[in-house]
Amino acid sequence: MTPIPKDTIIVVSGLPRSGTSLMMQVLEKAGLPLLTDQLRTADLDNQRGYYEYEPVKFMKAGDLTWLELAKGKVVKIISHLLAYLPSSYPVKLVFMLRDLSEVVASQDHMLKNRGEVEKTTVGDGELVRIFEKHLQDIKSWIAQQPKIEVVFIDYNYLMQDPSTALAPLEGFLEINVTTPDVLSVVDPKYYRQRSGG
Amino acid sequence: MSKVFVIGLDGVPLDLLENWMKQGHLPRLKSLIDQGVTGKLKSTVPHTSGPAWSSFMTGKNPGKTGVYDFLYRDKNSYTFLPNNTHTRAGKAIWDILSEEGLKVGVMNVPMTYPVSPVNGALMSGFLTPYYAKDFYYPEDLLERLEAKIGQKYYIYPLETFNDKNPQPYFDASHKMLDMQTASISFLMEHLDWDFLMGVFFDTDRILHQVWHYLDPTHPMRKGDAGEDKSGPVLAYFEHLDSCIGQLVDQAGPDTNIVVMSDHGMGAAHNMITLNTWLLNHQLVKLKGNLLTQLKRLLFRLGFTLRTSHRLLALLKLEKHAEYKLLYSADKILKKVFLSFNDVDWMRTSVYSVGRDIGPLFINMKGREPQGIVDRGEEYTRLRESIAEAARNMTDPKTGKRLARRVLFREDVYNGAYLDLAPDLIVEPSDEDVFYGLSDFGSNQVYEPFYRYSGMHRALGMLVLHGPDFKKGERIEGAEIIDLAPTILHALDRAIPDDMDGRPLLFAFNSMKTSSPKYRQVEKDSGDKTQDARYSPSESYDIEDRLRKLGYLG
Repeated sequence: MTPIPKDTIIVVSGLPRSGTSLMMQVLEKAGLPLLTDQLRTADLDNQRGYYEYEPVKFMKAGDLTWLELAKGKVVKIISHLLAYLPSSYPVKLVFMLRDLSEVVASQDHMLKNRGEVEKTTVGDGELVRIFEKHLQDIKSWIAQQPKIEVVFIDYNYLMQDPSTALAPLEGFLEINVTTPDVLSVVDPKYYRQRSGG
Repeated sequence: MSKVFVIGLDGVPLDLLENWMKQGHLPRLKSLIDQGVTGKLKSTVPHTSGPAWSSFMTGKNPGKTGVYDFLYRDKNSYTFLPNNTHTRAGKAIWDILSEEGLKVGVMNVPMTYPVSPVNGALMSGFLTPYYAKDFYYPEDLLERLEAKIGQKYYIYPLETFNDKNPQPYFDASHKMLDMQTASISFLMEHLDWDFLMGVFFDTDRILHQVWHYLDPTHPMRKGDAGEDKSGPVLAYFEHLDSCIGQLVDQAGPDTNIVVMSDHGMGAAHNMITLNTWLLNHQLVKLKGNLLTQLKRLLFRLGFTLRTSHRLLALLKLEKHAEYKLLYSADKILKKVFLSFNDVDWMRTSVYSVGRDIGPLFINMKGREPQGIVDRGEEYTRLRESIAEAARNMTDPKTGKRLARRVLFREDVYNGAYLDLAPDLIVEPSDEDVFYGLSDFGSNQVYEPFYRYSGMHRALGMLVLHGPDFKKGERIEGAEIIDLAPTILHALDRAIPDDMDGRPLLFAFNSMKTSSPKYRQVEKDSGDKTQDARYSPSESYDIEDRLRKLGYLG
């Protein structure tokens, strides 16, 4: 297999609660080095951890110096921050998609667990509509980035048929994703928060 | 509130200027960069002046302006006409500012003809018809300007490049630069302006023509490969630098300065003629009449538009042709050479128009006058199969793959005018590859580029300098659609929420980093239901939610 070039950053992205942490675990098990700081520890909502790197959350403020550390590694960037990536870095992007009503339900559940009361007047249906528009925007943006190559992975499909759903990653990232070690990560018992559940 | 002065340099890449600055040249631009915020500026798709300037002035993607190229298809035929302000949707920033009572001056910005009244003065730029007399507002503007600058004002250059004797071309370019600088200076002096903008368009034309002077290894170097011929080009840019310095001085230290280009430039080496590829693959079908068959035979023998350009050069008739031909010669050429006049549209499913990206249009029922493809499943299936064929497109001579990737229109654009967009975009495999002239400009699918040694690149330049901007900073990820909202923010004006661009808040110093103001727009660029971008209030709701979830800092 051809190794990923050293200056390429592998980004796992998607809406929060679309399976981005799960994908980080898959790639870790497949042997790719991750850029995480474990500052945000595991909790009820992500029992195996969030796999985040804290400076990512401040991309919008303009500090992108950490990107040098991400070269040759996997880093998680939620879809809302993706467009702050500078165009100068070659990126291999794994973008997670999940049924949006499940995404909203899972976020609602997480907000409750965090003791946050959702103060906005936006209902779940409206949130789904807004997220749809956001995903359309971000897909357009990705398509216009000359240095970003992307693979979309469907979380719902991943739960049904892990080895087939993960197959596109083999050629894309030059990794083996059909080993028992990798497939054990995609454990349906962690498919917790279905729509309305 | 500080005033804003925008200097447009059409088609100038940042790297080119910074390389010269490293050698000690262009001191005024260097000073603006050193004391301001600088970065590359991403253009539209395609990175062509028509759509790029339209998106600059509206802050909207081509899906909302409806301007996808220099030309648009006349809805009742397969002829293509130059875009203009009437075929563009969305208000220009100077229209918005005029409505708010601010005084504006606009000089030589492409895609501003026909002119409409503003609260100030406007002279249209590139894409003004060559012989137009009504390219300015108000009525007495031209007379007052010419009286002040002491010469006739002109939009288009007076000399065409000749590689064997380039000096007259450069001499004319220097004269035009002085004339345009004096004209911008006139507006600056005679208007009590809040927003003023002037574009130097010749930068684009020069870099198209003489990129090979900057690149000793360029294939167009004949016999003088390796020799440094950059002198006259640098001399022009040194002159431009001093003109910019003069205008910046005149604008005064309390003015915010924006120096920007609508796209970049780089070497052009090869070209693809998509309609010839479509013809070879039977996706374009020709009429069976005798004249068409004769033209097809001549086409195969090499009697093409490309040949005619060589002939024009030999007869020394190229002068002004690059601009005049846009408007006058197209109909004649279509009669002489194999063209869309010879296409049997009732048997043709796809065609191409445009040269900076690889645009393919499906011949669709209800959109094209003789469309044959149904919008539903047939469209989807056909588009997929054409995309697959385009991905596998090769140079018949070498087998080299020609396409890097194929995009669908909804991957790139959104808005009420999405239906006018090319259905597919075939990105070439290499950045120095472009597309040949329509309709059937050459009988070869892939061959060396000609006429120009430089062609556009997606990344232009941006410098923000002045009392409201940070000093000595670099900015990443700025796009041309961001400039209208950025300028509105600098002028303390609310940003219409249907703009796709975002204000470049990173560039502002602490005095201006407060939240930008937005205002809802009921109707500007047409049907808002197709507007994918979510509004600022929706954006606030979502960001607040993500922050509470711990995903944003």
